[in-house]
Amino acid sequence: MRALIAVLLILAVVLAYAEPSATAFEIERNFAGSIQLDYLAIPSNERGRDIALDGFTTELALKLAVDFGERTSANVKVCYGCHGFEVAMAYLDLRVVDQLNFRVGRFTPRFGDFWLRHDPANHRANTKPLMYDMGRMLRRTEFNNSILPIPYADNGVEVYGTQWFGDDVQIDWAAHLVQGLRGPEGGFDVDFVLSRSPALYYIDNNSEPALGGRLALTINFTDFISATVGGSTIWGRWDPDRFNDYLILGTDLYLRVYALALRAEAVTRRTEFTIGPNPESRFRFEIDDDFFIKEGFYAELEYPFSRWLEAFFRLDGLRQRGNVLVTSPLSRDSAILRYTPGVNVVFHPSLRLKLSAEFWDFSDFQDEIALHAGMTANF
Amino acid sequence: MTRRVRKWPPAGWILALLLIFFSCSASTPGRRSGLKQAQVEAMPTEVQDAYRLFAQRCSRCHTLARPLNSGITDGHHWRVYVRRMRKMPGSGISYRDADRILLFLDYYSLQVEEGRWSGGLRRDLLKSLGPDDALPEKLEPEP
Repeated sequence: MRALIAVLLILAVVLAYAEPSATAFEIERNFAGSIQLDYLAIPSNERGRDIALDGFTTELALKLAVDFGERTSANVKVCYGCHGFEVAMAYLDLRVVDQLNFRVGRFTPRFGDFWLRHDPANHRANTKPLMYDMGRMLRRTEFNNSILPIPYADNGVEVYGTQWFGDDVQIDWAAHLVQGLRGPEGGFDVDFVLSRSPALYYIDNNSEPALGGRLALTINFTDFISATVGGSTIWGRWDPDRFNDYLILGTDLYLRVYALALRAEAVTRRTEFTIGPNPESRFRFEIDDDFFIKEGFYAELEYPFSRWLEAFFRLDGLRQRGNVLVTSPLSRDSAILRYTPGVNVVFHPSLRLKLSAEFWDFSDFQDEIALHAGMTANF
Repeated sequence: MTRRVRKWPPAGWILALLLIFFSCSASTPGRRSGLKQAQVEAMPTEVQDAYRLFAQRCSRCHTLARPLNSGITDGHHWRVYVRRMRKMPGSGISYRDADRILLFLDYYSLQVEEGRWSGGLRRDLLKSLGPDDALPEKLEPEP
């Protein structure tokens, strides 16, 4: 809490001097948005609804960015998805120098590479990588969703910066304090619904912020060959009693060679849970640890064959290791591998048809095939 | 229900992906919802190079349609915009790159403002402005 107060005090002082000529600056506004309608069919299963949220899904994002001056701006973004309208962004950015910037309000903390491209108009696949899925994965209830939902919007403060070494080497850093993921008292896992639910107000559930950060190195080998490697982390306690913590670690790689892009990430979450007084009736397996591990990865190749045809191939996976609740069908080591080839047909620079097929390889369940057809527009 | 021991990503898949990656890597940048080839070729050489850099850097996170359809035509607005984008993590946009990207955006804005966009780009537009006006205001390094 002291750290948070210190950050806010520094921010107030910096704000006081940051825009001395603000009155002379013309306020610039930029409005942007995207829409994606996607249809998910699961031909390998007679009743897809039993294992996924199939059928039509619409995702909408509307964003207003206002630059008050060279150093301050505000961003507000409203999203609409499966669970109605959400405020994904409502923050103020203060850019002091390249190396020191502040973000306060509601935002998505910097984590990994996909964080930058979570808007459906900014990634080629119809779905998000499994480790960042927000509810469209098959068997989502059995796996209790993904590792970290992205966009993961939360209230707090982020300090970030970038340092250039010459014109070709860039180091980015960020550190944040946010409310953190939430879960029920005496629960087994974090609860994504509870983490974003207004039912308990948009406040912390345990009076203790979660903290995290990111460090990344970008090198421009030439104008047309560049690479980024990064690492990210988040730590916090998810239950109201602050008994159980979660630690998320991630590493990411982006390699761009002319038009071809390779993206890869790996993320793991270690989640503690309360064993309770009667473990044999609560857990499926004999207790040996008070935590479980959830890990995932993706590797994705993306290539535009022409202005109107872009292709991608993604290989991603999700794995859960450790004990599970007695009601869970998962084993001690359950995993998914998913193979996703797909194309984007670009009718207009702002309008694209997304087609993809997903081949799901489950360790504990019947394998499945899922087909996606979606239309995306950005403006 | 099947129960198998899970193998994490097969090495063969990774090798195949790498082979595809390097076999495709000699491509022209800037295809991601950007300008038509004829439009690019109609631009002065210096602006063409700037466009290719713009296409390479900016398509990392979003399609090129986003800035091209933003409706921004004011040079100062573009500078503020590019300054903000330059600070995005992993943007790879140095001050030198920002200046080159602004060269293209200024040229592009002029085309849009002049209403010449649908009729094709004018090769002589920058020349007609004179040397001072043709060069974009530079993004000065911050203190």
